[in-house]
Amino acid sequence: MPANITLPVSRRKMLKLTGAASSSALFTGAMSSIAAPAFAQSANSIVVAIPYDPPSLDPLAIEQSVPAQVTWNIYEPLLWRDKDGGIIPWLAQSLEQTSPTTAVLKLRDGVKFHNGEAFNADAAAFSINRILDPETKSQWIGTINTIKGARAVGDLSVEVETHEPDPVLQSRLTVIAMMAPNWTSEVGNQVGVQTNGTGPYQLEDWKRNLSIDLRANPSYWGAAPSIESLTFRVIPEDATRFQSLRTNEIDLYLGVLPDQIGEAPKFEAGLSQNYSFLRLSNLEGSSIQDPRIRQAMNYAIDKDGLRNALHGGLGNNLNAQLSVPEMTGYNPNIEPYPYDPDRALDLIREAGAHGLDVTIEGPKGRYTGDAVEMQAIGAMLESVGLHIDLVLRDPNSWVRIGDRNQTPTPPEAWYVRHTNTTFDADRTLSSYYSLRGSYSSFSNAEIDSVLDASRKEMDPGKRLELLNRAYEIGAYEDPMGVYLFQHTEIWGMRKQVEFTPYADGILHVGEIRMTG
Amino acid sequence: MYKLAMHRLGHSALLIFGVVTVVFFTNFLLGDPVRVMLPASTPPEAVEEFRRQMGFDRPILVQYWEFITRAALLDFGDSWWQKSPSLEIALRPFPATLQLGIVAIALASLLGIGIGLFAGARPGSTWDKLATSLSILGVSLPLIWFTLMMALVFSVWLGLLPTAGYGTAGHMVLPVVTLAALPLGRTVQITRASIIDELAKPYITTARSKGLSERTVILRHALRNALPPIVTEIGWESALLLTGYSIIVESVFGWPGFGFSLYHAILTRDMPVIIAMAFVAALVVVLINIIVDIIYVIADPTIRKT
Repeated sequence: MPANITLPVSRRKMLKLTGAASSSALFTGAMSSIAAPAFAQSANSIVVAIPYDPPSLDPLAIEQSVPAQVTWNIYEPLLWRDKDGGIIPWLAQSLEQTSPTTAVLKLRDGVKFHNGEAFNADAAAFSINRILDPETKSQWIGTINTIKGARAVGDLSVEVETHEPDPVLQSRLTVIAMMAPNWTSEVGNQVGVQTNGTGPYQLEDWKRNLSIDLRANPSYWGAAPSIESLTFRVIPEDATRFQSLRTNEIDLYLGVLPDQIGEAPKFEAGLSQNYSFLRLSNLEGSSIQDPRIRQAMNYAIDKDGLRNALHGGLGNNLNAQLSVPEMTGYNPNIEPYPYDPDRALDLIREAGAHGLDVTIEGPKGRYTGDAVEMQAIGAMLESVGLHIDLVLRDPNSWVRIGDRNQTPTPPEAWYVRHTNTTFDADRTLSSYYSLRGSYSSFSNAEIDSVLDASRKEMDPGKRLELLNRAYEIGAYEDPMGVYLFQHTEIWGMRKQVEFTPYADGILHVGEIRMTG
Repeated sequence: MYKLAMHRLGHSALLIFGVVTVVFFTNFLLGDPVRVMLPASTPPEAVEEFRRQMGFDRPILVQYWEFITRAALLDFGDSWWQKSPSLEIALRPFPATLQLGIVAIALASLLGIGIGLFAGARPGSTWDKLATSLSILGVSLPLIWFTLMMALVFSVWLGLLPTAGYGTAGHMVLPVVTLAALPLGRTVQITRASIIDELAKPYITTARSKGLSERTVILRHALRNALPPIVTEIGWESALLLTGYSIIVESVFGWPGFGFSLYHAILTRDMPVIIAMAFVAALVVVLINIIVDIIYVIADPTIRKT
């Protein structure tokens, strides 16, 4: 090698080049130091994304599915549901109906709140009375307002009184979280910001609009969860949440869209208590009062085709009733409407309804893919000889059109998805199969009398017969709607997450396992 | 000068009062608030009971009077869900937004004025054409699309930056860049246009004939006179950025700021918080206008006499 080498570039140019090189090295260095933080992917911690920051963690005030993902890991009710939606004892070990309007629950012994306060009959009575207290302004009001109050009748016995005999009381008790009376009065208006439950996790830190950290409750009365640290991260945008899952920044979230499942590392579709249907009007002035037309509308819909095209093949078809097998009152003997456009055409002709004008009102942007679904339904109904006028509205005007208090003459058909978290037919039947519900456009004298009888019937077997009868009438004799689908909720997760969704949609993090 | 200041102040108070009032009534016009707050399957008698609990069964003017008399003392009531004063909730996320906003606006202003000057000083050149095209791109990018694309490219494909969150410098990069794109484009356009205008005026010819360097002519003479429209533009963009663009950008990147919180408040229909946030937003606009006015006075001494 020669001792003297001539630099191919001038000194000045060289300085410039090295300057550029070092500054670019600085830049890459800086970039890597600020790059995506690799999350500690350990087997005992999990990050769950939620779409918005819970406005409050007061489980008795808020009925919203997002805060519920957090609060049901902290708080627990007296009775709860298993994976399939069946009611099971939880903080209460038994329930005895002592009179048509009173029930006594025996509570589990030795349960303590996170702060050490004992869980007993006083706490149970306090919690039930608190959800009823007008001061709480509870969003649960529609579910719990049949309850009159509760009182302790022993250290571990609590008596619940209802206004009328209430066959659905057990179901109502599954939504009432148990809170500690002394703690609640001490924290005052911080009751939605701090927490103190009996559940497997307790609140560690809440960074507003960013994240909520929970850690396992060391003195939990039940089986200790395998995951010790649980973080809820707030990521509002659908697409960002999905991207965060793909980059391993989060482990699990609810709300993967059907068209994203192909790219998700892993997903589980849980059936939800959410049913779509076209609510049909049989009221005075409706052009489809003749039941044959409403039957024809049911025969005209290719439900499998729609479900495959629009919902990734997930979910179930409804069997000619606004109910599903896991719901009390479901009638297993009703024949589902097959897809039979010829039969539909015949019925339309028989009813002299060829070319009949039928208005369908529906929302645009309220549910995923709602507009496309209704356009397809409209086309199927046109093909059997009806003349469909499809009106798609913004969600607020759509609600106004569906509410008889605001729109006294309802449209012939109104698209809606009904949610029933009580798992009991009463909520559904009184909302849509009878004019008791202000969102109903359907009236049938026999259903009304059956429904009245069912509300006083405390014998479960006889009550079931009555509810079954109501669904039977609304299926073929006098169809209440065009019955479409039971929808799913899709959870996206990393490959390592082992998780089965519950039928009631509640996230029990304590039961999740992480492999590898 | 004093008269002008008082006039501006009165104008601002009226603006804030108007905004707050419109938002109050809009909440009722958008449909029955009780219906929105409760699950759809809530039985009608329970809905009416809840309406009484919330005080919505009273005449709307009574509700408005109660609201406005308290709002005059900066009491917007407690958040429906959080049970704490809504003004506090509205102000709490503001520092996070300011953090993004100041960096984004500084970036957009410095780069924007720099590029605008450079292009405006040599109109018609290749550099000018390049700057103009890029600025048009910046102005016409749909914000939501641009934001999602940035996250897709830099987080998912390249894995360089986190998709969402708050806390490290890395979390700031994407929100700042997306927030700065639009104001940057506009600042380039306005700066370029007003520099071209100024350079055509006779005093520039005078300055040049005195033998001043082109650099001095542009920076000392033309820029100073071209400044008012640029400052107005940057002020306007700052207001939009803090109270408007931040809703989209913060929601996509999960940045816990003002826009994100406003989105949450609307989602949960927390009316006292929505109104308090509208109040804060109006206040921000007013403050920025005042700052712009002060800069005017500094830049153009003739205003002081009016």
